[in-house]
Amino acid sequence: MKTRFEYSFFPLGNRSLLVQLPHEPSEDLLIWLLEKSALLSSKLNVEVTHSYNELLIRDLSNTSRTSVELQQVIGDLLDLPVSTFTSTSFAHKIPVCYDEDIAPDLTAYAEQVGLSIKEIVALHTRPVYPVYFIGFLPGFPYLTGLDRRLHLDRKNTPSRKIDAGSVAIGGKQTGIYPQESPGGWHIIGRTPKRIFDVRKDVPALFKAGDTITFYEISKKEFLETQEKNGAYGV
Amino acid sequence: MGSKITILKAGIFTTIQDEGRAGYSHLGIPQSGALDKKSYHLANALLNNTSKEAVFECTLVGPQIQFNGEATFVITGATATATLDEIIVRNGIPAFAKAGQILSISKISGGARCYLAFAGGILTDLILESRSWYKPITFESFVKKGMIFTLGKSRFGDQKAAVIKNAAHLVDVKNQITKLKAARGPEYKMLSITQRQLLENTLFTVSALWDRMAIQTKEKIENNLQPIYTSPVIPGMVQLTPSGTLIILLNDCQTTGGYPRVVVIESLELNKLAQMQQGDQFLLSIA
Repeated sequence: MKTRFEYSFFPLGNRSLLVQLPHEPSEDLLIWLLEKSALLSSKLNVEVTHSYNELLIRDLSNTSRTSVELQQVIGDLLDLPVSTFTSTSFAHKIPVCYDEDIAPDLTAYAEQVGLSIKEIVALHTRPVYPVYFIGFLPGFPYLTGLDRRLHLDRKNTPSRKIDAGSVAIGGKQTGIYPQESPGGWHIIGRTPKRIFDVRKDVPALFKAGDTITFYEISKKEFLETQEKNGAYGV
Repeated sequence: MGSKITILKAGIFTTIQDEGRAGYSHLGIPQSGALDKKSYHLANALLNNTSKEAVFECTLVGPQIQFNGEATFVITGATATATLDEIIVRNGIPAFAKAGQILSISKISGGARCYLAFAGGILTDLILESRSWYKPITFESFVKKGMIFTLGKSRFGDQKAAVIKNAAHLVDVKNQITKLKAARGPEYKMLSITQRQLLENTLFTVSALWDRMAIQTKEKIENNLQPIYTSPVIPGMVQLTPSGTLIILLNDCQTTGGYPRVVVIESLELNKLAQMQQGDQFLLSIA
C-alpha cells in the first residue's frame, strides 16, 4: 500500500486551508485522506472535509494564528507515517428498483449507452463502491468504481426535480439523491430507503470510507417498502 | 422563557439565522447562518444577547409582527423603514414593545438585508447545533404568515449593552460600486492572461440569480477550461461556470463543487456581498 503522498498548501484567508494532492483518486489515497482527516480533527480544533484529492481545513479555534503557523502545525501531522488506521467503515446493501415507471431516464439512458436494461442492472449491481466523500447535497455519496460501459456525460439540460432516493449516473460517477433536488444526472433507478434523516443522531446514512452495493428489487417491493417507510423526504 | 410574537405578514423572504453550523461539512451540510455577520453580531451586542442568538434575516421587505408580551428589539444591517404602531423605529437603537403592539418593517434600502433581533433571541429548535433555517436540515425554509415564535429570557438592562456612537456601521452598497478584496483561487493558474485581465477589469453586475446560496453575475468571461474534480468549496469562493458567468458562493452553498474556483473573496467582504441584490455592481480587487 502506498502510504506517502506529495501535497501542497493553498491558503484560503487566515481561517481556512486547502491541502492539495496532485494524484488521481485511488483507494490508497482515500485511506490516506480518511486517516489524516481523523488525525487532524482529533488533535486540533478544526473542521476537516475531503474530496477526491483535496483536504479542506477550517480553523475553529479562537487563536489568532496566521496561515503559515496553521500550515506548520498541520504539516507536522500530515508528515507522520500512516499508522494502523482502524476505520469503522460500514458495508451498505441498498435496494434499488430499476423500472422505467420509477426511473424517468432509464429508457433514454439505455439507448444512449447501447445496453439493455438487464445489462445495465447487472453492471450497476456488480461492484462494491467505496464512498469517497459526501458532498453536493446533505448525505449525497460520491462513489467510485462505476463500470466504464455505464459512463455517460451529464444531461445537457438538468432536470428541475429529481425525487429523493433517485439512483443516478453522471459522467464516471454514480450516486443517490438524498433529497428532492434539481440535478443533471441520468436517473436509472430509485431506492425506497431513507438515506438522510436529520432526526437521527447521525443524520447521514453513509460516511466517507463506507462501501455500497446495490441489489435489484421489483416495483412491487419498492412501492411496499416506500409505503411502510411513510412519506419519503423530510 | 420570554414573550411570544406572531407573524402578521411574512415579508419577501424572512428567515431565522444565527452563527450557522460548523463541523458538518463532511456530511454535505452547508454552514448557513446570517449572511451579514457584522450586522448580526451588532444586533446581539446592542441587546446584551450572547453572540449566537437567533434573529430574523429580512430581505427587501421585512415582516409585520405582533408582540404577545413585552420585548426589546433592534434592527441592524441595511436601513429599514420601520414603525412600532405609529412610532418610527430607528435602526441600531434598541426599542421596547408592549403586548399587543405591531412592528412593521416595510422598505429595506441601501442594501438587501436587515436583521431584526430580540433580547433573549428567537427560540426555534436547535438542529445540529444551530437554529439557522436550511431545508432539509430544518423543517421550514422561510417565515410564513401566522407563525408564532417564542423569545428567550431578556438580559437587556442587566448590564450596559453596546451602543452605536455613529452611523458609520450602516451599509450602503446600492448607490456606489463596491470593491471586493479577493485573492487568487485554486484554479486561477488555469486562466489565460486575457481571462485574468477580464476578472480584474470587468464591472460585474448581480443578475436575477441571487439568493442565500450564491450570487451569479450578468457578465460573462469566455470559458474554455476543463472541468475539475469535484472539490471542497466555501462561502466567498468565485466559480467560473461553463457559460462564462461567475458564481459567488454564500453561506447556504454546497460543500463541494466541480466548477473552477478562480477567485476567493476575503471573508470580511462577505458582509458587503450579503447586502447586494440584482443590478448592484462590483469590482474584484485581486491581490
